[in-house]
Amino acid sequence: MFTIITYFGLLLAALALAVVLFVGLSKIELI
Amino acid sequence: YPIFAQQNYESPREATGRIVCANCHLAKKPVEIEVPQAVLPDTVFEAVVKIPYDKQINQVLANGKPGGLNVGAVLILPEGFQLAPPERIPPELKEKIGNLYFQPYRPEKSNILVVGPVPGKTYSEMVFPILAPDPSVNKQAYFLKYPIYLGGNRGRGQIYPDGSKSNNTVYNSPVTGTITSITKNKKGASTVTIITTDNREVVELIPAGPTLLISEGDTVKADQPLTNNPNVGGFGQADAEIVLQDPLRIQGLLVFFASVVLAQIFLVLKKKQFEKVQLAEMNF
Repeated sequence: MFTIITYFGLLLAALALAVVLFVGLSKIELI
Repeated sequence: YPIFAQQNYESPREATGRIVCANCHLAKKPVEIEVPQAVLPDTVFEAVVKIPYDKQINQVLANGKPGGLNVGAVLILPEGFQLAPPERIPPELKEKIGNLYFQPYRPEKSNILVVGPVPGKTYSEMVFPILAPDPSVNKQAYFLKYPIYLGGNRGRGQIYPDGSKSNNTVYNSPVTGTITSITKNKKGASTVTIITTDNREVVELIPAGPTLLISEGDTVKADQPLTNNPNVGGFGQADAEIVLQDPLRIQGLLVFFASVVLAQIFLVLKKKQFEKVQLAEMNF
């Protein structure tokens, strides 16, 4: 139970990080 | 009975993989076992043992009268695994177990559990509470995949450990000859007298239980059944595999997955940035 929550938690965190980086970096016109 | 196995065999599983119950419970019927695919160290989990049979059917008891079937099981766990202590069994698991009493096969073999005989109507499905070992405490336990062996039986056996037949089996004619007399005593046991072709008289005692298929004056061949087979039960074996899983390995795997996802994200970002550089350097 704990394992599956950790797994999906990490997955979601990685996706959120990806979105934040894409939006943030394009805002400052780095990408 | 499990006690016969405990008295006569040091280990319930022979080198061939046969569980010793099969030495007396000659008929074969299926059994099932369900265990988790993997367990973490020092956790309590359940092993579900199913011994299915038609509950409408009665068997012959030792006195020859019909009665309900009993069930019993032996569960051979890997070294280090044992019955969960009562204070560690959660209440919902306790409810599933009911009033079953689990007994180690030998005092020093706490990884081999024996149950029964118990009424089959209630315990056709049994739940064993098992405690997984902790390799950090128990140095003999390792994080590995282990086999679990199950032997499950319903109904009475066909022979006793001394080799004598029970009344729950078929009786055959020991010789070729003619049946001269069949006498029944008060308890229902029959004495069948057979006269052979060379005029020898052979007496076969048949206890109460099996129904006679022959009558006086019949000629019988050697090994011809004199009775029907009253047995309705049987013994079966099953095995399952269980992984004793190290939580560190799972954490490591998750960290690895996270690093792979991060690497992919950064590669895409790098590509995007490089595309921007290419655009800036483009000359028309």
